[in-house]
Amino acid sequence: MKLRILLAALALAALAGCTSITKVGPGQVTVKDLTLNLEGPWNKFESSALVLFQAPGATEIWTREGFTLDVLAFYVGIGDGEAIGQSLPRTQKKMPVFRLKMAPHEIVEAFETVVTQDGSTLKVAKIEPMRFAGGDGFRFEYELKRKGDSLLFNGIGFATVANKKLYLMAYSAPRTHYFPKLAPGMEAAMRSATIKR
Amino acid sequence: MQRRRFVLGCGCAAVGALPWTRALAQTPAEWAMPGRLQRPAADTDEGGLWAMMDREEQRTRRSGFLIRDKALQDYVNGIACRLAGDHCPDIRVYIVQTPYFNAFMAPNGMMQVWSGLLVRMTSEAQLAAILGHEIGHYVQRHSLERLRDVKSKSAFGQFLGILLARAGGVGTIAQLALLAGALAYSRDQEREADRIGVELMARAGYAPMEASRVWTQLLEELKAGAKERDEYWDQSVLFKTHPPGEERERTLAQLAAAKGPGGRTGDKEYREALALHRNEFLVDELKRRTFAETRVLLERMLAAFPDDGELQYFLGEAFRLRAEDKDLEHAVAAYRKSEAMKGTPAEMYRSMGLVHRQLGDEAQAGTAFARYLELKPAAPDGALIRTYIKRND
Amino acid sequence: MNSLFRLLLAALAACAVSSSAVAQSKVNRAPGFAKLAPGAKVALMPADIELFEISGGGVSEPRADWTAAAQEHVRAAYRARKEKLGLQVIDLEDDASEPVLELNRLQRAVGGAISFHHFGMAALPTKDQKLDWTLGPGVAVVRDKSGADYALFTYIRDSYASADRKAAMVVGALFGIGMPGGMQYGFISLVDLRSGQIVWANQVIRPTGDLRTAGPAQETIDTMLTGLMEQAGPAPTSHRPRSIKDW
Repeated sequence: MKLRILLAALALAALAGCTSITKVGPGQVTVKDLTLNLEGPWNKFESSALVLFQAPGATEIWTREGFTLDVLAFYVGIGDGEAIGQSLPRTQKKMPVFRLKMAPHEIVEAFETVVTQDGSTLKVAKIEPMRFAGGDGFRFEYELKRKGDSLLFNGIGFATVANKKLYLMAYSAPRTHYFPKLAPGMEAAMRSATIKR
Repeated sequence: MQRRRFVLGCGCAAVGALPWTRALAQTPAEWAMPGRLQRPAADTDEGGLWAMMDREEQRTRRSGFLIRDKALQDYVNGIACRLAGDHCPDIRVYIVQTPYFNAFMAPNGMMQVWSGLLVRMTSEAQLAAILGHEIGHYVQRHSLERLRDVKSKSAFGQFLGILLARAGGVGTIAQLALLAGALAYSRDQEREADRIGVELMARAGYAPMEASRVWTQLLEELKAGAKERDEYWDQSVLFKTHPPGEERERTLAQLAAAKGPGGRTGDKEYREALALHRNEFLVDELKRRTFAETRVLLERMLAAFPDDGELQYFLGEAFRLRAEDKDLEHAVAAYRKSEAMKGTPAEMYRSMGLVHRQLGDEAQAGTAFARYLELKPAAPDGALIRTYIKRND
Repeated sequence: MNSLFRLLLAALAACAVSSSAVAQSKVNRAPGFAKLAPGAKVALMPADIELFEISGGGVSEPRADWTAAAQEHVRAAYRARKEKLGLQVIDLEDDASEPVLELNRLQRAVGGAISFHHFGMAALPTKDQKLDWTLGPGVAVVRDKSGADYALFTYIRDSYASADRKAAMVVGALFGIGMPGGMQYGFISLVDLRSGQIVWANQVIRPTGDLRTAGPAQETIDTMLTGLMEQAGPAPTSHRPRSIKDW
């Protein structure tokens, strides 16, 4: 299986080209039609072909410390009837579909389905209304136990529906040291988000 | 001891040469459990197998998905011990949180039981049937027999490569599928383990018919879920080593019939033992997103305990989360039914509200959400639920 | 973690083959770390080692016997460098307490990040080619158990071509087909137990190296420790670590 994973990854990497990571921020950064004002620099992962375990099918993923550690996933501009996220090659599961009339609870349930495909477990600790990107939205906190190595993560997410599309940002980092250190900066970035509505 | 010297002296015994293997073809009542297994020399094939399993066990002990609840561990351990008799000290039980139906016992004495299996047993006797079967494989050293058989067919390299190739963490379906595929016990070995399992059950005072019932229940689930099921991912890994089939169900029923009536099932004891974990296991079960199977499971549990509001709530959830065809209507009906039952969680009203909202019944949604807040004034999602209610006004 | 780690390793390997625009960092030391201070005590963490055999068909099979032998040889190899590095063995092998488990899990994830993003081709621009990672306050559990100033973590995965495999490689070569033989991947990191900072790290990926026998195992460890030993101060004259395993 090690070899099989190796070969699969090699194929994916070949498709993706070499992993290309670019700096974003500080200052104004856009992800499609979502704009953020960053206080510090982040690392953006260009290729969407390489499916990462914690954010399958995200529009874009960023990190500060590396993708085995912290991941900021953007699911941006998902329209009514479109799939949220992407199924992992080995699960082939149907992904949840975004519907305009979804309640925040249901959007979080869909998010959970996407990020726990590999057998990781997720527990929502909190979900509350919050203005996000210039409109009504919500904020949620979660705990994630990664299947492969049992590492525990804390996460925060922000989401809103604008222009009849879903905009969701979720950030997770190891619960020990990393999340407490990096989350405040992350929240500041999320709260700076705007969408032209 | 006699057997140990035999094993040492013969590096690649042909299948069937192990003298104790076919003993069970004789009358089960006369069958005597083989003596305790000794740790084999490191340079033997059996030693190699133990060593690999030792490493696997080490990983299991370190896994974050290991359920470390002493009470539950002791309970399952206790059953295994009663069945295993003299072998009791050699068995180490590990309960792993993963929603798939599986249990196995490794040649070195490690036994794993997955939460997906625990949630599906409706009696202590059923769990005893599973554990007894696995103990059967263990005391008869089927893995070693299989290893030698496969080795002698010179597929050794590939066999071992697949055997413990790490798909990533303990208890993953892919890893076990590979393990199971490579180490699939032969039909004869399965039958033998079934016979031993029933025998051990009976000796420990359990009702042997419960063994057959495990498969009846499982087959019912699988038939219901046939269309939904992802061939590779969701199909119980257990089936790669233990092909279910009505044949097995029948054979176990016959073995039980031969034992005669009597024996205890331990429905209530089992339900109590699992009480603290049941909610968690059912939440995991829903996340498999194999709703037809989950529905069969929940309806069976409800048949035994019709007043269990929590089970009824989960049944509603299975409809709500699938949300196809008439599912949402069925969900509402299921939630309504749970209102009169005992132990219905406040979350039921939240779910009811979400479904009414999906169906466009804003007024009903508002009522349900309000009831949720009434029952759970300190709900962590209270502020959000209030915005749902405000929408109507 | 293993599968994720391997995925990253594979992507890393793939990038090593294809061209790259980003320079690969080979900086072993964190900013501000010059060398091990004289008399510094280094807790040697239980090594995470696994050896595989590649069968004729190219399948890697774990070899528990080789792995057990490798663990012994690696222990001996470190013993031989004990004085130079101020090493003391810390016996956490069977410690399944949550703080130790969690620290080890985090360590593997951080090691993976360093491996992929620092030594690999997927550099993080914000790191500016610096070795700048930490394990955080969780290292306190090791500090408390050992009284050491640093901890040394070792991670090795090593595969060896079987005779069948070697034969197949020879045949393949005749037809112009290159087949990978065994590979050795080693990652060592030194952690400051006061701050949790990874002060020194090294990665070795090569088709050579052998952990199955004593001499070559020494060579492997020495290769992986290259840079650290030269940096190490003179051997301490006398010290009484609080807990030392009699090895």
